[in-house]
Amino acid sequence: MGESSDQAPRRYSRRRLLLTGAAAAAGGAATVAIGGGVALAQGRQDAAPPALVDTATADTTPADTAPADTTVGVEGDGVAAGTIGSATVPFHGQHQAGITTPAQAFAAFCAFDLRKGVGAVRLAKLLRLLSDDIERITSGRPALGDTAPELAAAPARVSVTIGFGPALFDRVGMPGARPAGFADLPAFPEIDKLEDRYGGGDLLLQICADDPITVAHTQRMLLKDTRAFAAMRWVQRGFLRARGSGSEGSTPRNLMGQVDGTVNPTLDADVDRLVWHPGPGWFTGGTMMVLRRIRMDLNAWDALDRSGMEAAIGRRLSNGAPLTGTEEHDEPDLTATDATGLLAIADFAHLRLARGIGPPLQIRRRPYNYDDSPGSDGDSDVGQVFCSFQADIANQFVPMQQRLAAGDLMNAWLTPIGSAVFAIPPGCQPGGFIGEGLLT
Amino acid sequence: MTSAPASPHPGARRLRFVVVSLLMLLMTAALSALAPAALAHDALVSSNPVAGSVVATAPASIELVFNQDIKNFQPKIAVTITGHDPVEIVPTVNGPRVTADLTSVDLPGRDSADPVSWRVGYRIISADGHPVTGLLDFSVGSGPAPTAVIGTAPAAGGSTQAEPIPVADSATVNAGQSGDPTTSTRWWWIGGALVIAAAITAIVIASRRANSPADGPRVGS
Repeated sequence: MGESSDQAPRRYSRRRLLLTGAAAAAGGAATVAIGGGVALAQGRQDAAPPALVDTATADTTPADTAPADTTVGVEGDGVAAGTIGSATVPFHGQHQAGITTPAQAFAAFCAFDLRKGVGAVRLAKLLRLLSDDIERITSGRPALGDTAPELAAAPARVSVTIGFGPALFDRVGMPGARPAGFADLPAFPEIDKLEDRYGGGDLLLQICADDPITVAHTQRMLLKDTRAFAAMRWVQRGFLRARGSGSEGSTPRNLMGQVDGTVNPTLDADVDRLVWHPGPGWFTGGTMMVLRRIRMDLNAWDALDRSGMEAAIGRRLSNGAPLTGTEEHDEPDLTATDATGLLAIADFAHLRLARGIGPPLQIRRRPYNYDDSPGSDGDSDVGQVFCSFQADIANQFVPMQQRLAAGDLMNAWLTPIGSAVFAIPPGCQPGGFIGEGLLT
Repeated sequence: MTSAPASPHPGARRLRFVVVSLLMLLMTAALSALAPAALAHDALVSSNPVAGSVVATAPASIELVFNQDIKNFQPKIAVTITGHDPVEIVPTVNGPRVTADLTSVDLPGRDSADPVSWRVGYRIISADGHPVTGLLDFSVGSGPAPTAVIGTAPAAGGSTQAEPIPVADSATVNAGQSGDPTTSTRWWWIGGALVIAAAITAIVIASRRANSPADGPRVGS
């Protein structure tokens, strides 16, 4: 970050002031409160800078962890201000980060199952721990007890988004708190070939950053917090173009080569309506995540000529423009015919079916690519970690997926092999923790 | 071109290597030029009415026959009679045969007394899952075949376009279809190959001269 450690909290407050206005005023004091509470709960060593006046220093220091003054070392390894590595995404806010945040280049989706005997009280403890460390990590400071704090020196816009699986509410004895309409997806028998190893989970940590080391190190730190409460079920890693190698703000391409994610709500009013749960109740300001692992049969896809590829998508490969337009964001004309007299955007085109008829019920898509080659058949194992956020899965995602399952020509080359859903609680303010509305 | 163990001129060997490599490249390029034809997915083999033909009366059905089986996945045919809007028809699929029964279809302009051009557009999915789009024109009615088809007249005047056309090139079709894009691509390849061949010849000649100060040619000695 290129700044001395005792400046960090003040700078953070300034940034928050810019972003959330008056709510920032209590920032400094609240940080102290979180640090104290969490450290007491966990009994860990304090690695926070002195400016935080973290009461955790009173706790015993495990022999196998580093001495407290980690920030000095971090400063020595600091990342120059104004670089990709130094950029941060605020953790606190009405909503969690990593949802409307422009997609970072790398991601790890980590799902956990709660251990036996972990109920509401212990879950709350875990979420406090996680929230505290996420707040540190996302502001460029090491997590408590970080034995390799140098690796935390480049936040690289890291964000961590916490989610709850449908079964979690039962496990902690709060089935009534499950948000309305939040449940596992129905089966899509036409297309699904789901594998258990990429499905389900009680707890999700979506870790995103513009640096893969930051993702890995954040995962390591948060796994440390989580280990006693939950066991890792699966991890799915994804990537986009490295930050700076594509033009900023452009729609990413998937590994088939298509511009993927053109239609995404961007206006605040649309995001409010389509992404954030309107409430009432603890879930107000939360959202629901659908995570589908979709394998691409690139060998078969490669046998297709470009015009066939474009017909299947309904968009041009060159710039993502609909076949009835010239620019990516041109509104597709779903009734236009071409020289053949047939619809220019075919009935089987992905674009047409994803859109549906009537007022568009968009979702916030935030997909990543994956490449885990070789697959079990000794060939490529490539695809997409499809990730979308929507206020209501049943109303927004399911009808779209049903249309696509029934008629999308792309199904010839795409196979869903993993599926999971998570309720993403609203954000928290300084002093709070993610999920506090449910558990306090 | 035996690999003489005591070839006294390493330069000549190198040149030979370069020439052989370039020739292999050239052959690869030539094969690539032919590849599109070999890899062609579904293509229309025949039709009834025949593309470019003149038939006396409006056909009761349209039959398209492809070079391989067609998937029964959202097959579509559109019939456009000049001066009228296209009418979309869901044909039946039977192996490589796609048939659209027109008897119960409301086709504006079908009963025109004057000779009139028909255009049949099709979009089908081949057995290997590839979407294939194309169109063909024919004329209905006695008398001279009309030249005006939908949009501007094709270059050939006979209004035949039975080649599958890429969907993305529909704009080109609108502007006047002037030949099979696959064919033109092929000519580019062949032209390119000839240019490369000429370049190789030039290089060989130049190298020979450079490597042969006084005692004559050595390559292939």
